Amino acid sequence: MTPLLEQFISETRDLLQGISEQLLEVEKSDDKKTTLDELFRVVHTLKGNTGLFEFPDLTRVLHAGEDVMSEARENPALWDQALTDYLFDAMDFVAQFCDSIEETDGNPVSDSALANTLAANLRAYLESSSQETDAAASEPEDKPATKKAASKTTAKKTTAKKKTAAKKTTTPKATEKKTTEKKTTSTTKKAPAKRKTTRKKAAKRPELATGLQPLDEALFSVDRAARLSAWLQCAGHEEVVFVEYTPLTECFFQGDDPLHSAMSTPGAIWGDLDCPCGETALADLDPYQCVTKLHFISSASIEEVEEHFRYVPDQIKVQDISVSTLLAPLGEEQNDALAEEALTALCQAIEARDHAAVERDIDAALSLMNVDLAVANVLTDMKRLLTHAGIDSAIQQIGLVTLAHYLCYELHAEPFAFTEVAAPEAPEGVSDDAVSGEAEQSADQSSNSDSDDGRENTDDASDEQPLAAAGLEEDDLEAMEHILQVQRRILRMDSDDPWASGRVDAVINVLINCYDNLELADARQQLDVVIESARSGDIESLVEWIEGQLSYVPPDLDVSVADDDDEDVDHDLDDDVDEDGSSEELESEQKSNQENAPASSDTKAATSAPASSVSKPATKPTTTAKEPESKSTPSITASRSVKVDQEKIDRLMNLIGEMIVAKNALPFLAKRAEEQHGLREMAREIKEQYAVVNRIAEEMQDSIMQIRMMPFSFISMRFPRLVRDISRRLEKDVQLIIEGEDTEADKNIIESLAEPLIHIVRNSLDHGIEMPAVREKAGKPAAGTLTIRASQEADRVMIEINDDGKGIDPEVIKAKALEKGLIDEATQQRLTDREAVNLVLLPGFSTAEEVSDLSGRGVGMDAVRSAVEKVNGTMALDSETGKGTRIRISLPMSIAVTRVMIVESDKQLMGIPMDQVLETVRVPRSEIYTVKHVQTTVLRDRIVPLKSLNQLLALPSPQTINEEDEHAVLVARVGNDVIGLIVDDFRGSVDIIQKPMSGVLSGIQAYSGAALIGDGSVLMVLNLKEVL
Amino acid sequence: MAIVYSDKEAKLSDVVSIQEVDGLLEWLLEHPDATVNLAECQHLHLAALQTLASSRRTITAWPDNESLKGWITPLLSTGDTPQ
Repeated sequence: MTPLLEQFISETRDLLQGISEQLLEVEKSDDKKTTLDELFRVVHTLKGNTGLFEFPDLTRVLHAGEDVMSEARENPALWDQALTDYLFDAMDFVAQFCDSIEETDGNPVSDSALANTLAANLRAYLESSSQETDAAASEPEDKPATKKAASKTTAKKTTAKKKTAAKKTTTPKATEKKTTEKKTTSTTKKAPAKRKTTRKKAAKRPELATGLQPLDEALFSVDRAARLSAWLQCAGHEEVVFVEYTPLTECFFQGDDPLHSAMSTPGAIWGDLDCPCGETALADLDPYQCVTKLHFISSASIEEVEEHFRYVPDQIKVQDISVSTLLAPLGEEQNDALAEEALTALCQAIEARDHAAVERDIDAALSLMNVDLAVANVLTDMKRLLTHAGIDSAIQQIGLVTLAHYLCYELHAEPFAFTEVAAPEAPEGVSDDAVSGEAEQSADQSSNSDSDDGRENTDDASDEQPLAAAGLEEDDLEAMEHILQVQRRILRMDSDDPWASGRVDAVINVLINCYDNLELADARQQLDVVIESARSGDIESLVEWIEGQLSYVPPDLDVSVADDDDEDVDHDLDDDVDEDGSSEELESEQKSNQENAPASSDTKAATSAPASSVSKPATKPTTTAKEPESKSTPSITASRSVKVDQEKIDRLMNLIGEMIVAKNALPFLAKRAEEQHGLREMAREIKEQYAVVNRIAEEMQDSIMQIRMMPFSFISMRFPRLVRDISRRLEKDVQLIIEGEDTEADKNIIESLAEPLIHIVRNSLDHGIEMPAVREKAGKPAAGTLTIRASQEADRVMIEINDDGKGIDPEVIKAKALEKGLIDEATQQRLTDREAVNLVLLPGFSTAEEVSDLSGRGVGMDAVRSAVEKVNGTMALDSETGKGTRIRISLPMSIAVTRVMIVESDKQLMGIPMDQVLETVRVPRSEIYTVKHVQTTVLRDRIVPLKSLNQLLALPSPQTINEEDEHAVLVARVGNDVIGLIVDDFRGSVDIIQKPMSGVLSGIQAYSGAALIGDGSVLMVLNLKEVL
Repeated sequence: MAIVYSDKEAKLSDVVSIQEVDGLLEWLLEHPDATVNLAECQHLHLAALQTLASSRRTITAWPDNESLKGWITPLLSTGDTPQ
């Protein structure tokens, strides 16, 4: 099997686990949408992974699952239990498939028929639902794409139209844009030249307002000179796609050549590499780390670009931009940076195409100016444009005019009326007049505070407007509808916001401008009436009026969640997702803009435009930002954790074990130095060193143990599904509560728990919890409760499984045990209820009358007990008839290190696990009595039987006694008995890494293992249970 | 070999793949004053480009391939004016 396949299987299992958790979550959750999104994401990933291999059946099933989830995402109501069952079946199929891959070493036996059935089941769901919901949804996986495409075309159309139709519409659009539409944005942008004044705003801020901010940020991070060159290359295009491509650092190892990918992007026009390598000394360079960011521009559509980068969708950000945006300045604002006369002179020189004069003016201005200013940036660009070799003069002029508009804007000056220059490739220009009018309009329209200023402008603007006529063109109509929809939604927004009144003002301005510009005098009069009432607080009438104007009124939606008012909106939200913007930044930028804008000039009014949109970006990301977030999370976590083969950790564990042994040799060395060589000073130093090494080694051991620690959730996460399945099969109603999932224990322990726990849970469900009807009769809630609780007590992990079922009847158990010959009648009489209940832990015990497929197959609780004991755990069972059963399992947290007591007997050292040692005492020989041939002594009023270790191990020599005629007795607990072990001497306790006996020694039961101790000798660890 | 090294100049031609990067880096380190000729280069892997960018060598000839030239010139120009 290839490593890739191995990784695939391991990841698939993780993902399946995630899926089954999410499926259960969906059943419970109120907020299905979020869970479904997450679920879809996981299934999608899984399906994508399968594409790497030739497993068509697997892919088919997952594809069906993905489709269903995609549909369910749109329509959570579709979700029901039957669907969950189908999905579970599908996931089981995937799991089996993985097992099969593993067993057959990459050539799985695939049950195509089953795969087809599963896929068909899921698809059947899909079809029925899509019929119900919406005809358009019939092809769910295509849906987003189609939708996008559709809205995109609409956008394009509108844009083109707009251009010809003119500024009026543009104005409203700007506001509209804010609310949602990219489409709108592009439209506004599209309109050529003049608009720039506004557009600059439009280019820069409205874009932000739409939530496209990150892209914009990306765009602005592109070097100014590079943007200028991009602009030059893009001449002739109006709207292009800007792509920011951030390849993974390790992408070279995946065979990627980002430069090639970028250069081969369809329609690539211009590209720039943002590479910090220039600052890295060659000697320090790691050439195999990709540190470059690529920015490029393509004339293709967003869809085409996304298709091109379909394998790395998370590494690219794609955005429609208007070409002129490329010239938008960035820098500190200072609106008096250039004297008005100088500006006028410059503009005139540009108009006259007197490039020498232009250059002179620019040089003069630049020499007086802080180069960080936006204005200075514009001037520098102009100069670059002038000095650029081999440039088409028309393009040059367009660039200069565009820049001049930006300049005017930055200086808050009236836009200069340039004669329009027809771009060689883009003949459909807009007249200068129109553009300037438009600019002002959008400026005022966007202002919500300075509405008066704005209004005046509007009037001027409308004068210049050459409009089609009363009957609106189709494009205008479409645009108007859209604008009105958006205004309506704005009005529907939460009126508690402190800026609500500003929002209403903004809407009013938009409406006035729209109707003025379209010269719809009749409607305008009606509008005046409702506006008056709206200003006095009656917003409803305005909303109604807008609705009256609309050809259809979309269903009311909460604005913050409004994602399907219409296709376009939806489309935009989708796009927004690409640049999950930091709305706060956006907001603050807008605010600072507002603050910066001096309060009187009317161009400035435009600056405050985004204010009305502030609330929008603030709310929108709550819905839209979610997806990218969840997308990015896995990659972050993935990079923060490492999957390591357990063998490697075991090796580390062994090494640290040896290290500890080696370190433990130091005290012996110190002792020898002192005693044999008389080097007391040296001995002291060795001990000091030992202390240091000891500390480090212990910390190291601790850390390694930490690596091996796994949370209880590793096994508990499979229970929800288990309980759901079993309880549905048994038609019982069970509520599962899992507590302490983050309790940690050694991996071996946790893993050894999995089987026993599953068994216990099955038992509880099968035998413990009653049918709902029975429960109700008994006065218990119909739903049974199964609680699994993990907790840590000192260095042990306690697992407690509680059910509130019928409990275990001790009499039944006793009778059964007697019947099976496990106990005799005398014992039956003597047993307490508690002891009786614990009889179920005996081998061969099963109370179930019938063997079901769930339990009672004779594996019984004794299997559970032996599994627990294998890892040094203990378990106990409590039960109260009618009330329920409680099983407590206590496990060591780690089995890697054992603390043992070292004892000496017949000159040999032996270890006894510390957890069995109760105490060590010296017992005078005179206090040892022989009762029934058994040596005993009385220890604190308790009779303790004594055994000689030498005798037990068949060592010939008698136990030695010390000068005071006392025996060394180690009191140990074995099972439930307390016993005194007579040894020769005690040697203290030590931590050891116990190794199981191997080879011929493995058959010797008396020892549980062996370990090396500090002086290099081997310490045998006694298995007291066997010895006794 | 897509790169021909001499004492003074590395001449890149055709497509420079990531396999050449080691050699290029080594050569650049050994020849701190050498220059780079890209005239016949049709494409170079981003890893190679990063190496060149880090080396800040004089490029004696830009690629004849206009598209490649447009992409890499700003990055590899030692001055700050593109093209």
